[in-house]
Amino acid sequence: MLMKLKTGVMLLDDMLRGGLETGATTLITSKPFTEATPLAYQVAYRWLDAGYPVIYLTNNKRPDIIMEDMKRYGWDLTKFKEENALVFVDAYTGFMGIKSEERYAVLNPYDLEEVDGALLKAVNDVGKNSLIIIDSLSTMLDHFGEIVVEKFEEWRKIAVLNDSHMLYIFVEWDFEEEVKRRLRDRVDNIISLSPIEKGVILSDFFTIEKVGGKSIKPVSIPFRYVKPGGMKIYIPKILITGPYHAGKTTVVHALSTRAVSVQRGETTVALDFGHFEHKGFQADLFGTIGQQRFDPILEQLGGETLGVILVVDSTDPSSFPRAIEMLHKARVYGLPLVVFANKQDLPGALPPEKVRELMKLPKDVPVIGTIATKKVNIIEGIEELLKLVFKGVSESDVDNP
Amino acid sequence: MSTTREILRSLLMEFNRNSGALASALVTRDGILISSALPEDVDAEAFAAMTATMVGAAETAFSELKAGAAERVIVEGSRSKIVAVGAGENVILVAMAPKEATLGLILHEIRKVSDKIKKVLS
Repeated sequence: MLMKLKTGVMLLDDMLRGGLETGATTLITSKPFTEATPLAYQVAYRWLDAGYPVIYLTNNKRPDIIMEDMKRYGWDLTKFKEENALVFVDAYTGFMGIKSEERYAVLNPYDLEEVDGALLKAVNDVGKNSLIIIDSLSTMLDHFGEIVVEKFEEWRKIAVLNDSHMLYIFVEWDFEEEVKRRLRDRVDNIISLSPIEKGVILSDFFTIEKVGGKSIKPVSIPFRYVKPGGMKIYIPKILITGPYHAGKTTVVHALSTRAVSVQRGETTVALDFGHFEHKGFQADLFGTIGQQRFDPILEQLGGETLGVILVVDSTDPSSFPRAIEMLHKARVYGLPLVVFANKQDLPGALPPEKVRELMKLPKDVPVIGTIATKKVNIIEGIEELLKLVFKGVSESDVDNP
Repeated sequence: MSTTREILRSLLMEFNRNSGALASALVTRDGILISSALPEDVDAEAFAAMTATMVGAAETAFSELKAGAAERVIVEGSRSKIVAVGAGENVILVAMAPKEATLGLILHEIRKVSDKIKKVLS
């Protein structure tokens, strides 16, 4: 029986067309210094939590270190290990000349056949629908050379015959291009993790290069690892702007798990800043100042924005031209934009469609009626913005099968 | 082989050691964190955003007064001081040091490390 399990990372699951499938293989390839193991932990946790077994082959860390590391990301897998739902194939401790305490210990990790034998035994004992993590393929290549590539076919058969999923962790050291190409050819899915330097901003991105055996147009999604929590899609800046007294500070605070504001009385005088977290997304929110005299700071803070929420007071159409002017001043006009037609609970509030008409907003800009003080439509509004920021990532960029 | 991120972080840690600063960070002028050597309980992103706002406000105040260019922002607090200086076109280096720390030494070390940072980021 084939099944698909989600990784728990939004967009990644969409791009993988629902998650990781049994009977298939996935390569997580990463540049040195961008970690791939936390993603593997996350998948392992999802697998165990859904009631299916996980086999974790390690050749570069002790199993107890891995357990500790997982715990730091928020996944305590002790219970699963005690129940033998999580088993380690320990191909590391043997390097130290110490006897491993794991049931599937490799006495001589320098012998590929012995490693292979221990893995097969674990697979047979654990049964079907397992997730098999190979951590790491790069260390195997270091030890055994290219013969590992040949092993791929055998392991692929294990995945198919056993209804399992093989997940390879591969750190791209200085391997030959030919070896890398052959590895890439022989897996169903490729998730690549790499740091991208855009100007002076350094961020980690994941890219899906291949799904179900077919190459797809790669789209890069920014992420970061959080302890606890694991992989989160991360947007370093969403700008929340709008005229004076429209409710920007209330919006920032309503959206944030934690926020700081520089205020005098009820007026923001420097910046509202908040951390937003929702359904696997994280973003930092920058709320600007409304009054014209602070525009130089608005101009400064607009840079590197990925999406904009424009908050307007629906009862005050005279402020609408100023709202549009602020988008221009912050140089964010043309970026993904959602308009919050705020204060819908007040007498005389114009309905969202009227606000759109008066502001002459294009059809594709969502205008949402909100009541920030009561958190009405706030989350829905930012969800619309996230859809725009990641537009086309989830479905349309994946080639039709 | 080392990434830009690793290099920047080790430069900041070296700066903290040499200058006596307790914490330091690199921030873009528009408020995004580039790299930091801060205590773990500090909200680095919020600190970055506020630093950029502080420097931006100071620069604007200076230019409005036609008082020349603002070169650095120094804030003296009851227990510590914060020094923020441009380190390249779009980058601010901000350091936090104990109240007793010598400003001259901090500024000297900032100049030294800024040159290195500019090279790394150029």
